[in-house]
Amino acid sequence: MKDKELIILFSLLAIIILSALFAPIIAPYNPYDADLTNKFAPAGIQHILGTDHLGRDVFSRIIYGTRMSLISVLATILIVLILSLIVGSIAGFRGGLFDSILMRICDVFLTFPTFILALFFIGVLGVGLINVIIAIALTHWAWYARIVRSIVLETKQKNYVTAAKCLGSSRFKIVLKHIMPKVLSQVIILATLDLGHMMLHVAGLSFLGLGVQAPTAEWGVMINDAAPYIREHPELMLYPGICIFITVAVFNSIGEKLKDKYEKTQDFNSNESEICVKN
Amino acid sequence: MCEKLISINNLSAGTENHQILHNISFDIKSGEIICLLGQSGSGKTMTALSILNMLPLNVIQTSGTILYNHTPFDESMRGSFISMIMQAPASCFDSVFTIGAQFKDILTSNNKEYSENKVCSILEKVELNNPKDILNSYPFQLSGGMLQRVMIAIALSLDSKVIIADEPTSDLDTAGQKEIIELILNLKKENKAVLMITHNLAVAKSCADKIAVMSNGRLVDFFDTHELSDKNRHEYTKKLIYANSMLCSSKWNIDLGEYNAEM
Amino acid sequence: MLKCENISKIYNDNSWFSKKESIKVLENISFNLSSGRSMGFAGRNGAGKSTLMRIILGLEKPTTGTVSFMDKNIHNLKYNELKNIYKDMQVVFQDPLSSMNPAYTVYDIIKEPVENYYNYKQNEIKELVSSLLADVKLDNNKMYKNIMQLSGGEQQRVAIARALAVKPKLLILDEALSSLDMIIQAEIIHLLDDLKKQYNLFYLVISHDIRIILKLCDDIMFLENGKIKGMHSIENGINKDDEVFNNMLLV
Repeated sequence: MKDKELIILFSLLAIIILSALFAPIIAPYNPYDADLTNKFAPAGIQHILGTDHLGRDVFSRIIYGTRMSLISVLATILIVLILSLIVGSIAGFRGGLFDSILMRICDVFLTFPTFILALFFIGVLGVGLINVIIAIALTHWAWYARIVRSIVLETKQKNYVTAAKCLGSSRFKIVLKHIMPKVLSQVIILATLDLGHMMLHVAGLSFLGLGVQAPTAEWGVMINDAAPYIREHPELMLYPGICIFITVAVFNSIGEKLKDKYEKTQDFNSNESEICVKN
Repeated sequence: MCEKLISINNLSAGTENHQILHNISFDIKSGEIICLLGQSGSGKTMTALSILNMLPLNVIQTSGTILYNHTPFDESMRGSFISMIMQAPASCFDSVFTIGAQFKDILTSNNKEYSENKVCSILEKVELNNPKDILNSYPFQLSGGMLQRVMIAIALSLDSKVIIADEPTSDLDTAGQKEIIELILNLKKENKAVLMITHNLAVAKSCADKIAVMSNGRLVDFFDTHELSDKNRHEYTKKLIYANSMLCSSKWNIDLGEYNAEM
Repeated sequence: MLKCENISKIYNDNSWFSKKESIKVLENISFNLSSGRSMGFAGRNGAGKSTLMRIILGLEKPTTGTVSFMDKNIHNLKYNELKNIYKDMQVVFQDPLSSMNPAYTVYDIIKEPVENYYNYKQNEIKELVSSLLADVKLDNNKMYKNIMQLSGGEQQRVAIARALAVKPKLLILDEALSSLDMIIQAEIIHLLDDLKKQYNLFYLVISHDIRIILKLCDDIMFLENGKIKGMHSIENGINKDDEVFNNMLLV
């Protein structure tokens, strides 16, 4: 029963990733080829999902959009992880003044609602995909840094870390061998849970016209493009919407599953405190 | 004096694919301390839990009967007839409430009257010197030995006839162990039946009337304490005796073994 | 070899809400551990035994006093310099499971100190690990098992093997036997007794169970409420009427 769920989830994930990787092969048309004579063509054999207001093939644009969404989200997560791992481990491991200063900086970031802070950063940095990635990363790293710090603090107290000290292991080795594995296993699960959330952010900002710019095939942009024609052709908004929905759902469910699995092994190992999960 | 309070007959229990207890039978009589000895994982705690009818959900009693004063189990017996003293006292109390509040809660849920004077006198009986302070303190403010005493006091105040003590001494230091053993010996004077679970032969020797030895879910040996050194003891019992004598003898001829016999 | 002078440790309770209290955990502890003689600290829970051990190991700083090991003041050393101390002084902790990372196998766990001190190749490490396992009487096929799959006694053997990997002179046993079953306790005491000769070790045993100290040590020190309550040389015998001693004896 449970395995079935996992199989479905992972096959969906595989479809998403494969269509991003092999977009040029899968997509029947160039997503940027406009054909004004053939605009708003209905779904059919020629155009699987029809064409949009410029006569571009919607299916091809959605396939290429997967690429854009995945790349932007993965880049964001990568920046967030690197930043938070560095800041969190330094704060947790060194403690003292370092810890206080870094955590107060985190507090500043945490006080603002993420979307508003992201809008502020875009306002400062200007519109564009890279700036959106930076803005979203900057608004999310503080939360991760706090979690990394708390895991580091918790693991640092562990008897086996004390034992490692007494075995002559260097600080770097202790972090690498005893602390990081634990931090990473928890943070990666959280990141998977958060992937969907960030994807919504990217799409949302693109929809507002702040992120990816108009001709690019991106789901948020597509929804924005289709918005004026919602009365005549609501399906044009629906297709990218469904894509966003499915991708976010897949990432969330996989994260949820990983979390369950991890917590089970944790229960088995010892009665450890659960990892907190952001809503 | 020696009425049969609990008789266990051919008790077997296990999960779906793993038998944990095999045909265990023995009686618990009033005014008697029985020590259940065995390695960790030998089924000591499972036996105790099946007596309390509190086996974990995945464990089922497959055969055998347990009679309590010649009647089968019913819910109201817990507390009034049997009570239990747990291994790790620190995790058995709720750290949000004071000891007094928890004491009261247990008593009222067993339809007993709570009066501070009565409780204080019981706490004094278990050698807690300022009972009023103890009732007003929170579990984390007391040491392990003190909490263990409070636990015994609760069992005493419930006036249950059978007390099951699951490793009451193993979380304490030796001096604390000694004190708890004295308290358990006092329970005997009040004509209670005590089933004490332990892995420490020295503890068992010092307080038990009868010793039951368990190994791999079977009751391999059951004898009066003074018959401990008999020849026909089970292999595992012999091992225990050897380990104990080894621990108690010192290379510097401070014979702790003799010291034990004197007590 | 190990010299402690006037060690005191005071914890200050600096919480905002409660009144300020300072708790004296250790008071004026001085003793001398000469090479080749094992010593035991006996005392009740909360007598300050573990704090003293942490101070000796350099994991905590005493409020006053000095600890010197092989004529080096431990608390003046930097983190990297402490490594040389641990070459000669190793420790086995109370709870075998919590002192070893549950994610690793027996081999990984014993490998850690070996990597820190020797530049061994992979197969040399493997040889050393299997000889250490033989020394603590563990089967060689346990080498690649996860530490969680071993029983408590076996885990403690692994912990001892890990401590012996660097061939220390002093081995500190912090209640290393108290969480084990009696038969296993006896077995491990036997083992420790053998290892003492084999590795030319001497022990610093910390325990509330005086029997273990009497088995393994030459000197015994009683601690009560952070103060030394008497030091005896075991070979001279201890007066059975000694109150402190009697209090410590099990039943």
